[in-house]
Amino acid sequence: MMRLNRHTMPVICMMLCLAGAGAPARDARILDLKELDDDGKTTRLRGTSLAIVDINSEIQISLDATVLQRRVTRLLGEDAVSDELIDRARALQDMSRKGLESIVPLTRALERWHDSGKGPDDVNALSEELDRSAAAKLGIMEMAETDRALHARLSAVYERVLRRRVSRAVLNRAFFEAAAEYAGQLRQTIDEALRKEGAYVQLGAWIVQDGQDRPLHLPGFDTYREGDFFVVDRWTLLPLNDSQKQQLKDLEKAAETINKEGMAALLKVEGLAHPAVADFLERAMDCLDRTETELASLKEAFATEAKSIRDLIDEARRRQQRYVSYVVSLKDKYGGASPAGFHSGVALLESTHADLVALQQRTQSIISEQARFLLDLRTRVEASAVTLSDSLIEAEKVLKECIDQLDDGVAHFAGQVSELLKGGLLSQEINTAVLEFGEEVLKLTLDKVPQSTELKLKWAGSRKAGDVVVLKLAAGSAKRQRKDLEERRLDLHRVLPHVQMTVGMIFSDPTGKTQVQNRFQAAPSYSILLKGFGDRGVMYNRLLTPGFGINVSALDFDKDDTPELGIAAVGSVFRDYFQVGYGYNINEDVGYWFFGLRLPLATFTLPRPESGPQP
Amino acid sequence: MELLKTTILPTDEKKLALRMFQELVFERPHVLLVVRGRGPDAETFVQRADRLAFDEKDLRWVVWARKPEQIEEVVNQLQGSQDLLDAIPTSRGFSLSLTDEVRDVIAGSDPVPDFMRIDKAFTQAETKS
Repeated sequence: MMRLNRHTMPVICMMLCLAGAGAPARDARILDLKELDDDGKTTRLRGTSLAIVDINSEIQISLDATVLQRRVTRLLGEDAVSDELIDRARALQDMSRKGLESIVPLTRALERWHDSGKGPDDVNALSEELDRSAAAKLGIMEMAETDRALHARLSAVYERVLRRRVSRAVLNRAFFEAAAEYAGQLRQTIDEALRKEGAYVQLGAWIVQDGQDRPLHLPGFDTYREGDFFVVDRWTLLPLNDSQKQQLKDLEKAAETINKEGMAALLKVEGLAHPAVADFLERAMDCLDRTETELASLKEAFATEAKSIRDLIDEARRRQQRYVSYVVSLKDKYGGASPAGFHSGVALLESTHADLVALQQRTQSIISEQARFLLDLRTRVEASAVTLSDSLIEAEKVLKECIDQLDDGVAHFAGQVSELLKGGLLSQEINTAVLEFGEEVLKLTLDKVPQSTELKLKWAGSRKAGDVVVLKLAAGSAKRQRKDLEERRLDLHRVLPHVQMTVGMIFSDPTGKTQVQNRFQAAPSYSILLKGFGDRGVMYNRLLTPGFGINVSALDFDKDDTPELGIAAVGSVFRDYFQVGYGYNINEDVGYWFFGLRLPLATFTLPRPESGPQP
Repeated sequence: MELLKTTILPTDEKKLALRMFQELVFERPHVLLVVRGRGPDAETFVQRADRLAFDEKDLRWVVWARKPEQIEEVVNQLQGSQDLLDAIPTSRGFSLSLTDEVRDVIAGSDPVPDFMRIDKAFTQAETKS
C-alpha cells in the first residue's frame, strides 16, 4: 500500500518544482562563487550580479551541472532532452549524496544506541540520524516506483547484498551508490543528447581597469597563461614615491595661496586640467602632425588613376584633421593661464569631466578607425596593379606608431585621471557586452565542463582597488548563435585590514595662542591609515571606506615660513575625501583640531591615495 | 530457515503469544515488522524481513504472528492513521515505529513483498513522524 508521508511529499514537491512548475528552479543560478581571502576566511558571494571581494582573494567557482543542462537545453530550444529527465537526474543525485553522507553518522548512532540504556534521550538521538537516512532512501524508493530501470537496479542490489547477513551500513552504501551511478547515467544520456546538437559552453573572466579589459585564466576553461604574480601589500608602508612627493610640493604651494588669499582660492584653478592629459594632448599633436605629412606624400605617390586609394587616404586625412581640430579646441579651452568661459570652479569641474570622457571616447574611436584604414589601404593596394612603394611602407609605419602612441596615451591618462572619469565616487560602468571570448576560451561540450574552477586574483597581474572582474558564462550550438547565460561582477577592494598612505591638505584650527590670523591654516600633510575591517558591503567599500591612524603635517603657526611638525590622530571617511582629527604642533607646543579634504579638483589634487601596491 | 532477529509467536498458546507480542511492542525498544499469517508466502516474507533486520546492533526486529487473530487485542490498541489501521486485518504485515505507531501496511492483495518493499516498510517506521 502506498501512502504519502512527510518524506514522500517533499520529494514530489521537489520533482514538480524542478520539472518547471515553480519559478525558483527555473531562475536558479549556474555559478556559485565563494571567496577565500588572505585571512583564510571563506565567504559565499550571494550578490545576484555584483559582489565585493578582497583584491588578493581566490574566487572558487562551482557550476551547477543540472541548472546548466536545463538552461542550455532551453536556450537551444531543443526537444531532445526534457526538463523532467534533467530534474530526475538532479533529484536522484542529491538524494544519493545525502544518503551516502548519512551512513557513517547512522552507524555510530546505532552503536551508541546498542550500548545505551535506551532511555528517551537515546531514542531522540537515534531518531535524528534514522530520519536523515530515511528521507533520502524513501525519496529514491518513490522514484523507483515509476522508473523500472531504477527499480530493477536497486532490486538487484538487495538480492546481491542480502545473500548473506550484513549490517545496515553495507546495504545502504550499496543502495545509495547504485542510485548515484544511475543518476550519473541519466546525466550522461542528457549530455550525449546535447552533444549531438553541437551544444557547447564557455566560461570567461576579464579584469577591467580604467576602461581597459584583459582576459584572466580559469583553469579548465581556457588556454590562457597565468598572469603575473602580484600581491597588493597590506602592511608594508613604502617611502613617499616621486608622485606623492610632487603632490606634497604642489600642496605646499596651494596651501600658501590659500593662507594668503583665503578659502576662495580653492576654486582658482590654474592651467589645464591635469598634467597627464596635457602631456597626452601634446604627444597626440606631434604624432598626428607626422602622420599628416606622411599621408600627404603617400597620396602623391599614387597616380591619379588609383582614385579609390587616393580617396581612401583623403578620407583618413579628413578624419584625422577633425580629431586634431578637436584636440586644438581642448588645448585652447584649458590651456591658458585662466580657463576661458568658466565663472565658477563647479562649472569648470563639470566641463572637465565631460571633456575627459569625450576625449577618451574620441581617441579610442580614431584609433580603431585609423587601424581599419591601414588594413583597407593594404588590401586595396595589393588588389590593384599598383606596386607597393616605400612611401606606403613608411606611411604605414608612422601611422602604426601613432596609433600605438595614442593607444598607450589614452590608457595612461585614463589611469591617471580615473577618479574624474569615473565621476569620483562612482564605480566603473562596464558594458559587459563588449567583453568578447578570445580564441583561447574553450568551447566545452557539457560532459567536459569542469564542475569547478578557481580564479586566483594574485595571479591576475597588477590590480588596484576599484578594478572589476567580470565572469561570463555563455552557450551555443552548431545551429544556434552563442548567447550569454550568466554574468557576475566582482568589484575588487581592499576589504581586509591594511595600512594605506594618503597625501592631502589639512585645515588646522590651533587651540592655543599662535600667529595664525585666519581661523584655519592650510598645510600639506600625509596620513598613515589603518583601513579595511572585513565588511563586504557595497556602500561601505565604494563610498565609506573608514580608517583611522596618524596624520603628519607641515604647519607654520608662528608664520616664520619655517615648517613645524604637526602630529595628529586622524579619522578618515568617504575614500579619504574627508578627514578629521586632533594633533599637536611639536615645535610650537600647541594643540590643534583639523579637517582634511581630498578634493577632486583637476589641478589641486588627483593624488594616488595608496602607498602603492608591490609585486 | 535461519532466523536471527525474528520472534515466532506460538500458535497453540494464545495468552503467551499475546503477552510476547505485547512485550515486543510496548516494552522492547524495536522498530518492528509484524508478519501476519502462515504458508510459503509468509515464510518468504519473514526470511527476507529477518535479513533486513540486519545485525544484533540494529534496532529492527521481526515478529511472525502465524495466527494473527491471537494478537488482535493488542493490535486494536495501536496508534496510527485510520486508513492504515483499517488495512491491517487483511494485510500481509505492518511496521511499527519506536513509539509504537503503525507506519506502513503491506496489503494482502499485493504480491509477496520483495526486499525493497520490506525495507521501505521498515524505513517508514524509522522516520520521526
